[in-house]
Amino acid sequence: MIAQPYEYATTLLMAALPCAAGVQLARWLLPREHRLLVVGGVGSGLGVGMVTFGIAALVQIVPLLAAAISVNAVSTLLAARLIWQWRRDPLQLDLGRLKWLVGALLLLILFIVGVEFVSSVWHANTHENLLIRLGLAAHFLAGNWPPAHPWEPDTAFFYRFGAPLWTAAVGLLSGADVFAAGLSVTMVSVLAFLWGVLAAVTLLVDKITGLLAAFLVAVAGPQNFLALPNAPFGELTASSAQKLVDIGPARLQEGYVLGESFQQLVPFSYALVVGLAAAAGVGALAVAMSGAHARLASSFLVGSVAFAGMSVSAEHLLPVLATALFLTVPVHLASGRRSQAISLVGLALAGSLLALVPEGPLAEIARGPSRASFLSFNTSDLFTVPTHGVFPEPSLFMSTVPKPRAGVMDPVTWKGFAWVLIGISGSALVAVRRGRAGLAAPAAVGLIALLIPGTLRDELNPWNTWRFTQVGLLLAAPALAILVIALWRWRRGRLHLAKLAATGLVGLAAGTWLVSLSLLPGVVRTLESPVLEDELTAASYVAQLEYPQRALLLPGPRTFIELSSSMADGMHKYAVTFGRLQVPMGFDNRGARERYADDYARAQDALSPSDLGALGIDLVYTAQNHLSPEQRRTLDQALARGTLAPVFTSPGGSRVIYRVASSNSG
Amino acid sequence: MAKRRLAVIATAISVVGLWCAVLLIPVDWPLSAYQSENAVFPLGPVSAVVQPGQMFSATEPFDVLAAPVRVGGPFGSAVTLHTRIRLDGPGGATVVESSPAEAESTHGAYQMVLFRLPKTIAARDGYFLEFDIPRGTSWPIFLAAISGDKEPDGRLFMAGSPSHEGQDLAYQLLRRQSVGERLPTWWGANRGSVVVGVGLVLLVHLISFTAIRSLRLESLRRLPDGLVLGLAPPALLAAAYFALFFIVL
Repeated sequence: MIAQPYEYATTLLMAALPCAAGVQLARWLLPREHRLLVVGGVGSGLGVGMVTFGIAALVQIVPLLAAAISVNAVSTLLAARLIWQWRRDPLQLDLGRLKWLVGALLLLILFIVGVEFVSSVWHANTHENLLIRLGLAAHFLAGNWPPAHPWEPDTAFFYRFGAPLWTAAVGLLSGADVFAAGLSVTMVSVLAFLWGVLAAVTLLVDKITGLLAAFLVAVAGPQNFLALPNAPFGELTASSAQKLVDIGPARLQEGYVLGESFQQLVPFSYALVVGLAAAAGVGALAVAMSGAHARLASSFLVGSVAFAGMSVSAEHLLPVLATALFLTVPVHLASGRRSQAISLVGLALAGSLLALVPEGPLAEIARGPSRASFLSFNTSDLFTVPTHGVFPEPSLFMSTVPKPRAGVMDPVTWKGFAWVLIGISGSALVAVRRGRAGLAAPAAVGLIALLIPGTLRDELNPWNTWRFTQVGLLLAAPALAILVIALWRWRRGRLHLAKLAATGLVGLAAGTWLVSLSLLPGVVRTLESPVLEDELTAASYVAQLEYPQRALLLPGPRTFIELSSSMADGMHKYAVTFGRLQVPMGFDNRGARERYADDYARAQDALSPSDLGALGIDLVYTAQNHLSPEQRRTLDQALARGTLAPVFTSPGGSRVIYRVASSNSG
Repeated sequence: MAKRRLAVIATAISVVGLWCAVLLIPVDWPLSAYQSENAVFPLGPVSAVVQPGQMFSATEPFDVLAAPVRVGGPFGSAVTLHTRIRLDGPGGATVVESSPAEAESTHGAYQMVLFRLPKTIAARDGYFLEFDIPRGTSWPIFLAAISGDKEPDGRLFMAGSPSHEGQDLAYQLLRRQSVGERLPTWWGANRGSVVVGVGLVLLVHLISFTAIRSLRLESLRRLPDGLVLGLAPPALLAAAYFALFFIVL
């Protein structure tokens, strides 16, 4: 079940192919641009957006394999063209003597990303990647289209499915499992995202600012390192280093104001990273279109498609990027650049329309606005951001009284994210002083993203709007880079206070990353499942049965909170993802929980033929090492009356699978 | 050229010296830890009569014990304590007695007091940890206890009698070893972390090297080569910081 070494190479190649194709398209769109930093950054992000859109659109009319082959065939042709053209007319790296340092830093960042992704699958460093994203990808690989929800199998799951679909396509074409495919997709997307940021800021300002912006995006996070002396942990250890271990890197990297370091975003949901990569490509292209760098009509077409691909992976990026593009209109009109204004508005509009082509939450809302009734707009929370106060966890800043929202200018926001506020306001000031509106672009877009949770409310998942805050924090990093470089170059008098301030700001933003970097080995310290071999053997057994198989897990989760936990060694996640099982338990508030929850709980309690039959259960998948005496008695009774028959026992005996007698499938 | 050669030699000596120090100097490695979710409460006052103890298992050999102690006297008041490890519960044969350690009244809730043992104690089930509180201490002494049955096989004792099942004494076992001595243990128990740790340390070294090189070649080319002498040790110290931290797993 764990991928073969060659599968990492094949999946990486397969995932990188669209980026190479995107670079070739970018060469065509930016004919006078020969800097690899710019063309590569624009192109790789566009490639990610186009591949997610292409597969998501095609899969509605042809099988996934055909869609994957079609998209990758086009990508291969473009990549071949890129190589051929490169021999005659290579792009220039233009990094001078910084190239080794940039390469080493990139290697470190990608190494961290890889470790974080691995930890999210095997070491329970967050649960969303394994539980939902890779789970969905595994079911796509098994032929699940239209996508039945693994946890609510009678309903469709069109919810941020672009990244899982791309993952499944990579897995399908390379013959690898979803773990290797997901890892490769994540690595390539992170590279494309950072490269896109670098390209956009290089076009806006210069190369050094672009490099700093990309670095800060990768490392900036909440200023939790300042709170370490007050942290209520580590009293019971003789080791000061263990105090840090006790807090843990994940806790260090999440803010009290909801938002976390990019490093922690990777294990949380790589789908957002895929969306961000596409957004960075479109953003960089938009900057190129704003200048005199791009073929406008062609850029409009390619950018629209990538914009739509971004929306399929992370729909909440759409309003942020669309608003940003609309904001450029008055600037362009005031400068007499009417065609640029029309192209950028057209890109946002056409991209939004194309985003409706694949099935998804956007298409659903467009078809029936009443289905978006869980969303509401009001201004009562304007200038506030969601906080961790909605969760029963203490803040690292102990003086904080838990509350679900904090004002943008509240002390707790300054304590956690002073660099964000300074970066946004400072770069806007730099833009005003220099009379260059473009310098304020990251600050403006970041501010928009930060303010959206103050007006948009999700009634089903109140804290779901934190994703906008997260995007705002990521966009604040380029804004900070613009301010920092401006301060560094500011010469007035003999005192180097500006340089000191610039260094301090970088320290504020990157301090937590630096402190938590040394804790990285800890995230892969303990496997989530102490019986992983049994776990994967059992999952392999059910994965080779005819798809789909519905299963009841014993013991297993009944609530969404339990789903996002390591209950019974995390068996439910491995069974659903690597075993491709459907578990009719009910998912979150947005789904159809009420349709399944009671029936599933009853079936778990009694294992009666009628309850199992009502849910269409084929298999009962058990963790023998976690059964309570009562569950063992119920299981014995079901075996005695012939409701269940054992069909599989793992080598260590900790996983036993039973077939429900009344079931005819498999 | 001579200065450059000197810089290279100094850097090499720094690297080798730092890594020798990291690999050879023994430090105390925690073998057990409590998580923040365990509720902590003061245990006591304890005394020569109301003597606290804890049954425990050692999964690794250990030679240092640590326990949080609170001395309820004015700031700076001190009490000298001993620990004793017995076999199979209160009244069992004495395995070892720690060297005395002084607990002081501090501004914090507890002071972690280290009790060094004269020999390494083998891994085994059924040890009993006992605290010797001197008779006639002027100040009340508190230890810390933890609810939530952190040690299902262990048991808190007070005055020789078992206490509630779900409570355990707060204490920590440590092993004094150098990184070189400890590496085989990590490799056996926790290979993934060691691989990530080594990878991280190598990358941090690479970044230190490339950063110094880029600075010298790009921005500071007018400065003397001897600058490397000034920059290399801090950069390498930073790398050693990561080396030291990653092993506290």
